[in-house]
Amino acid sequence: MGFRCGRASSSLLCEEDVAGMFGCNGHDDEEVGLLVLGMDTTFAALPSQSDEVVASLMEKEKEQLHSVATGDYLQRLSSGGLESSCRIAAIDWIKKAQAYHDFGPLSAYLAVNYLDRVLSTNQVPADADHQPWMPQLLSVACLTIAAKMEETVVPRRLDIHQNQVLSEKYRFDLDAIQRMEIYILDSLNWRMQAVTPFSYINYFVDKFTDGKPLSCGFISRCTEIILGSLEATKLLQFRPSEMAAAVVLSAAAESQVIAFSGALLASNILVNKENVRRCHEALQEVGLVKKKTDYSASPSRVLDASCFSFKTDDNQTAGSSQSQANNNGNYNQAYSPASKRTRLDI
Amino acid sequence: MATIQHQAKPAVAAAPSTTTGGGQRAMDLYEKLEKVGEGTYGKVYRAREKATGRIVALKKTRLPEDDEGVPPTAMREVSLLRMLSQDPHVVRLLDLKQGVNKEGQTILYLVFEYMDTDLKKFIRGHRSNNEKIPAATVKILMYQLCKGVAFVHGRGVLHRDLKPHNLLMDRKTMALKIADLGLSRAITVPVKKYTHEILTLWYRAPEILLGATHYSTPVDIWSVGCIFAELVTNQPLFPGDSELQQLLHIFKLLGTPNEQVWPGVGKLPNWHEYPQWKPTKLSALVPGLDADGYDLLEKLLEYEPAKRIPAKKALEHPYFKDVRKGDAH
Repeated sequence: MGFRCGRASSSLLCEEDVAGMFGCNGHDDEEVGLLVLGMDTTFAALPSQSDEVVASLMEKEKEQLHSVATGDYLQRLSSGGLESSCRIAAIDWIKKAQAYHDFGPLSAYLAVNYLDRVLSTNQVPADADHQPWMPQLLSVACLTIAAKMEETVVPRRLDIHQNQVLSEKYRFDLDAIQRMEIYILDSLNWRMQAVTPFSYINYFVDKFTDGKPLSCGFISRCTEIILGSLEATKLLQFRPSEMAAAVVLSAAAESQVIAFSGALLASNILVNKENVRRCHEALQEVGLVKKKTDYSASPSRVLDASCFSFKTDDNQTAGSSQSQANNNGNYNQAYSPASKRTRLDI
Repeated sequence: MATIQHQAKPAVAAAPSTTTGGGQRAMDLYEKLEKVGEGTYGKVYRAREKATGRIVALKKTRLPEDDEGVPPTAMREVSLLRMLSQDPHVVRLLDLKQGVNKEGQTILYLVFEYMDTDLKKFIRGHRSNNEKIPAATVKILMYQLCKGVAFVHGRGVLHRDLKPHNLLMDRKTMALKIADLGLSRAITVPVKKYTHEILTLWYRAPEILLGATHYSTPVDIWSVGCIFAELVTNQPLFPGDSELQQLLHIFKLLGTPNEQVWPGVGKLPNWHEYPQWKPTKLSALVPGLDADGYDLLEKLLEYEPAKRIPAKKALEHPYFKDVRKGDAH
């Protein structure tokens, strides 16, 4: 069935089945029937986010990514040493496990967010032979925490990492996982409610597409780009809000709903536009977004339904001052020096 | 010590030591005064902070000796409170301590500001004295509840368990604060299917009872409507004892919904051909409100979730006009 989109009480709403949650199940846009539905079965029922709420999310992201965006973490990763290989191995495992357990994309994103925040404030022991199991235990615990935060049904912790498909070299007992779990929670100061690019998608769709209809695969495409960005170290320099803006613009430009540069220029957003442009270029460099995204909009490529967003009259978007939007500066200007790192002796 | 097996060859690794909220043990810092409640994972105590003499609530959470580890409810509650605790209408999490009990079990202590009662006890007190809560008090409490819910929803969070027991109060100041975020969750794109096994039956929205797995902020608004009616009458509005009975209770009082009233209702998983009841006038169900009060209650208990009044809009409702004047926040 895929998406069934329709209008109910002046809002465009969408129902999905499990298989169609992130895409159109191979249907062409023309094949998707329209159906009037109540909000209760909708794909999403998110209130529009006001600039005030988004500003508060941006404050949160600043606090949350302090250690990742400042200090020498990015340098350490780009030098390609043990830390970098530990991160790559952990992310690889997280993505495999996410697919195997059919966790949502946010669980994978959160797990990597936790991983980066832990690694940025703790040094991986230099003696790799001494603790070669570290990346796997870290990733098991990060994904366990993310799943508990986000998933409706969470498998037993042992099941998360003991299965044939993932064929790990190591088996951890419950005590080891629990201790690592608590260690990570402590490192995160129990701030697991992370701000992610997903937190802003609704806002930027409102801001950039100006009510233009979107294809059913739009959210699927945004999700794909966001998850694809996890491995790319160079994308860590961008805030989740900047990433979200770049992703929404890129996906909308790819589906020929808008022209990237024009939409960015014309928009009234709280995010530094130069950083959004740089993020878009970085997404192109790592091959997540096609090089040429400034297509002209073509009505034949879009479907007359906003397939993920339910707009209420709550939190109406207010105008924001452009000067404020352009003066947010880079991460490095926004933060004080990174907090002292401690050794991750486990 | 944690045993880690590598291709059948055991290796030993020291698991991380943890010092949640600082090194000192919780019981060195706080003196338990009395038990004030019991939750899924442990007890709640009134306690005194030894250093300052400040009275706090100490929520003790055992980490189960099973496959679960740190319970998801505890994780969600702590992390959400870290995000929401700055609002005057959300209970403040002051600290987080960790210890080990005599049996070697890991214990988490959540330290909250102490509130001397909750809305359930407050209503029960009035009911047992056979007296109504003054209309002005109902209005002040409802305004604070709507402010708290508007704040929580504005931060992209669903509470999912709003009920009088989870609304803490200060008897002297009549301050009301939302508590117990163990069932709460952040709402974000892409939206996932949520469980419908949430929320105490009496305050559960009809879309959840009818099996919807994609729901949003209107489920909390329905609960607010049920709480409003209970404040006015001292009685729960829909006291069902099973999911079916709960639905029938709602339908008997508000009328059986149909496609005109609630487009798409017939497509919900648990929809059947229910008896056809006509709606009863709210003034008969909830005597004692003025016209503005009934209008707000009607908007909070709207069947179609998309039409249910958002908390932020509810604050602007004429029912609250005299409270708004004196509102400092």
